[in-house]
Amino acid sequence: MKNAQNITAASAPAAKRPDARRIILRALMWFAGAVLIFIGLFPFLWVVLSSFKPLTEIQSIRFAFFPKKWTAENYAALFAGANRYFPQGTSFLRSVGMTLAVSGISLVLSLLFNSMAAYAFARLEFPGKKLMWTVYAMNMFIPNIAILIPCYYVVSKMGLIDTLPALILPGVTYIWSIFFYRQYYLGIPRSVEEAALIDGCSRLGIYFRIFIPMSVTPFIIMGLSVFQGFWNAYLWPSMILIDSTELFQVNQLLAYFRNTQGTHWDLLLAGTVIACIPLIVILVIMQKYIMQGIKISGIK
Amino acid sequence: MENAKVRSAGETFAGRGEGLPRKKKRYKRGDTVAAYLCLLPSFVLLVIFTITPLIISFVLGFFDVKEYLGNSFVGFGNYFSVLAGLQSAAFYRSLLIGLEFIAIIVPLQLVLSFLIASLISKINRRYSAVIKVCIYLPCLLSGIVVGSIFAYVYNYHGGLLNGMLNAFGLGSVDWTGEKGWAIFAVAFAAIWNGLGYNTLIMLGGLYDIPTDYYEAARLDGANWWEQTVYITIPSLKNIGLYLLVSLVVSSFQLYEIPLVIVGAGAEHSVEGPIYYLYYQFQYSDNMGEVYAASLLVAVVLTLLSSVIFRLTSSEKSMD
Repeated sequence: MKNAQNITAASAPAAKRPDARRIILRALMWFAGAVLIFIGLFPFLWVVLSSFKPLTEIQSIRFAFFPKKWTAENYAALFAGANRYFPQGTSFLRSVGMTLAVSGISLVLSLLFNSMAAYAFARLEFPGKKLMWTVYAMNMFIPNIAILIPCYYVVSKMGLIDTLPALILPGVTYIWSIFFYRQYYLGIPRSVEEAALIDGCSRLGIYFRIFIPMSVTPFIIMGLSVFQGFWNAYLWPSMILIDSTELFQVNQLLAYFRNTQGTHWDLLLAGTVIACIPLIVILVIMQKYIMQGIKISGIK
Repeated sequence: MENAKVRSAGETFAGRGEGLPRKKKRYKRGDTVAAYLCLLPSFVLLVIFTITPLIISFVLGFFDVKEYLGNSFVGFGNYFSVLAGLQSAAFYRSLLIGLEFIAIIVPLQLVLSFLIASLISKINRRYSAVIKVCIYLPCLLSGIVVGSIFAYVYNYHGGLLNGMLNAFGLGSVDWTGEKGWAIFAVAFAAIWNGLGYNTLIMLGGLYDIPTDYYEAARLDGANWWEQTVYITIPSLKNIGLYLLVSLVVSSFQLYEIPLVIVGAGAEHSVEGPIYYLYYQFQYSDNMGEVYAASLLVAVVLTLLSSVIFRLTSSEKSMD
């Protein structure tokens, strides 16, 4: 430490000018940071502002950043319920509820099933463990695209086309999250469960009474990305929901507003903003966990 | 005879000796039952929705699959018709478009995220926390939402981009309708979508580099450029490789963003492999061919990432 100070002191002769330079540099940094914030938020903010323009202004030849006349009529039209711009049998509110339901159920199943598997791999000895582990690990390397279309075949043979389970079940087993939970469980000292074992608690009891309560942090980290995945889903729902428009997911409706026949800009912009709200709320509340999750995904 | 008997007795004895110290008993019954119960749900789903589909596409890829006529074995016929048949031009074109996306997005994404990450690493904590959240926001949004946002940004009338061009006295451009522009329009939206994540991963890598490396370099009189070339970039090798592979994979499979921004416009110039597969899925009268095609796309993807690993590891051996 002292050495370091000496060195800075030694390089001091030129110190007077670097001071001015440093201020300019710092100002530049602040400016560059502002540019970054601008890049991240600007297109989105502009869409938020534009969603309050009346339709004539949205498509006006003369560009305007702010609405000349503020109006909530786009949102009113969006939430007005079924009308001719919607596929029959659904409304925006309904699809929001449906997407939330699908995301919520999937989230619970995903956390439970995958952490159970992780617990077995982390703590229990059983015949065939190595083989099972290999099977799970190999599934990480199968590109999704190889499975997508034959999975439709399986779902249709099971008679699940146009049903809720078809939206939920194929995405529940998530190998990467099993790896993640297992790593976490391996870090929990065995002494934690030994007392419970001596008291005659079963292995499953230990999982439910000790491991689940200890899994809050990994559950939040993984749960965020699971929820995000289901809330944002488009391709799979658009494949398997053919007649049952009442199950339509939010992103499907958005894509419907901009189709080959044209674009309903008023509905599309307002819908886009609504579709972002849960994600933004999560980002603001859970930013600590999201940042942790990113760090972990970089390590894999 | 006797010898043989003795030997066999010895063998059984030895065998028993091995088995005796509770080796077989290593598995407690309760543990085994609990373990299988724990694995059951995820394994059943894995078998039904991942392993079975994979087997199906392998098997049915060799069949002519007609919805009402049943299946007939055609050997490599489906692969042949995807690779060299009537539809093959569309298949290759979609792969080529996937490669175009890679060529535009991956280098820009890597360079930009590196530059932005090094900038953020020099900014004080509180300010950089705000920046991090703001640049990460686009990464949370779905492809459809990003597509919708940029569809409006590129809109001919009332769009942000043309509005800015007009403000500078330039004429409007049909960004999503013209073949030359459409792919860049899509690529830019995809970069906006992914930049925050890549930057934060890079940033994590930057923070992991021990600061004494830089102090030592500064003592030796290395300037910023030399520090970057000789310390920062080599230290980011693993993270760069991870980002490179995941960017290649995701750019190749861009689907929702081009779907919303361009659709079938711009002379089909943004229809990558997934677009191709989805189209075949909807309209092909022989699903066997579609399974074959989706396996081929998966093979191309795997090849791409293994080529990257090969190239970078050979670079390593040169060091």
